[in-house]
Amino acid sequence: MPIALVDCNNFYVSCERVFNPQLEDKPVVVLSNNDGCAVARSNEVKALGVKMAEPWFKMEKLAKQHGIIALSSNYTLYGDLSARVMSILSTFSPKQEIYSIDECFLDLAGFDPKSLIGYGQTIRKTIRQQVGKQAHGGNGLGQSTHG
Amino acid sequence: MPSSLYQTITAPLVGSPPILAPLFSHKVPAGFPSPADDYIEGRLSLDQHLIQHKDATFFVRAKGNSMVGAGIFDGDLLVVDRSLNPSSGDIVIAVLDAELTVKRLIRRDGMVILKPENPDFSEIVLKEGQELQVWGVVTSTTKKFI
Repeated sequence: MPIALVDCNNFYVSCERVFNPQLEDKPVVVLSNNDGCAVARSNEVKALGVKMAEPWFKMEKLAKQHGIIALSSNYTLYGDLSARVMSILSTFSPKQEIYSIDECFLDLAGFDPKSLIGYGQTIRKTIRQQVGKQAHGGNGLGQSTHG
Repeated sequence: MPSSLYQTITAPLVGSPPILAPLFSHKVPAGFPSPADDYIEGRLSLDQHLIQHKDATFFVRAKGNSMVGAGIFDGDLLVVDRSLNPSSGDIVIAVLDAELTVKRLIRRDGMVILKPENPDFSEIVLKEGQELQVWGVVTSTTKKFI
């Protein structure tokens, strides 16, 4: 039974980028409440070796060196964009299971297996255009998670 | 600590109960008052009136005077639908030099032009190889008088 897992890349960072194009292609971290530690990292920041949940004081020096842009988290915004993404994704399958703020499963039973790749691309393009998010999809036989 | 920079874009409340106001069938004249017929055609929700695709719609606060000819003034609240494919002649929010700007999109003789609606501003013609990124299509503007 084909099930798609859709997740969004670097969700909080990409939410910030939707509204601020200046953050595009720059190293960006989103920090937890009270700016304690990294809860989201752009690919540029990951490439610099910053780990998930790394405390801000530990990366402050690196941030200065490489011009890492640190943002306080804005969960109202992430929640709003997540609701939009999930609502759009729900139109692609009769059965959706939301797994986290940026992941969900779509039941694609009965879909022509040959059409699944193209379908995935359509889903990705739709999310990209309508909410400005980079979504990722995978098809598996059962439910599984990937990061 | 640097703070978030988007102060001009807000999202409509998804799923909030609509406020329905009576809709009168009579057009209101701006000049001579006509005898009103008090006939209520139905009830209108501004959300439904202004928003076609709620998941893809955002509100953007307009800044500057480059679009006054199109009826967009400094401080107006623009309704922006990201699900629409931009056509020539549409008013769009475009990403230009990493900034969001509102202009009219014109495609002419293979050229892409961002046209301000104010003679004091000049057209922006995209150079060859320069890709235009349209953030969304502006479907309406709202203005508060009080």
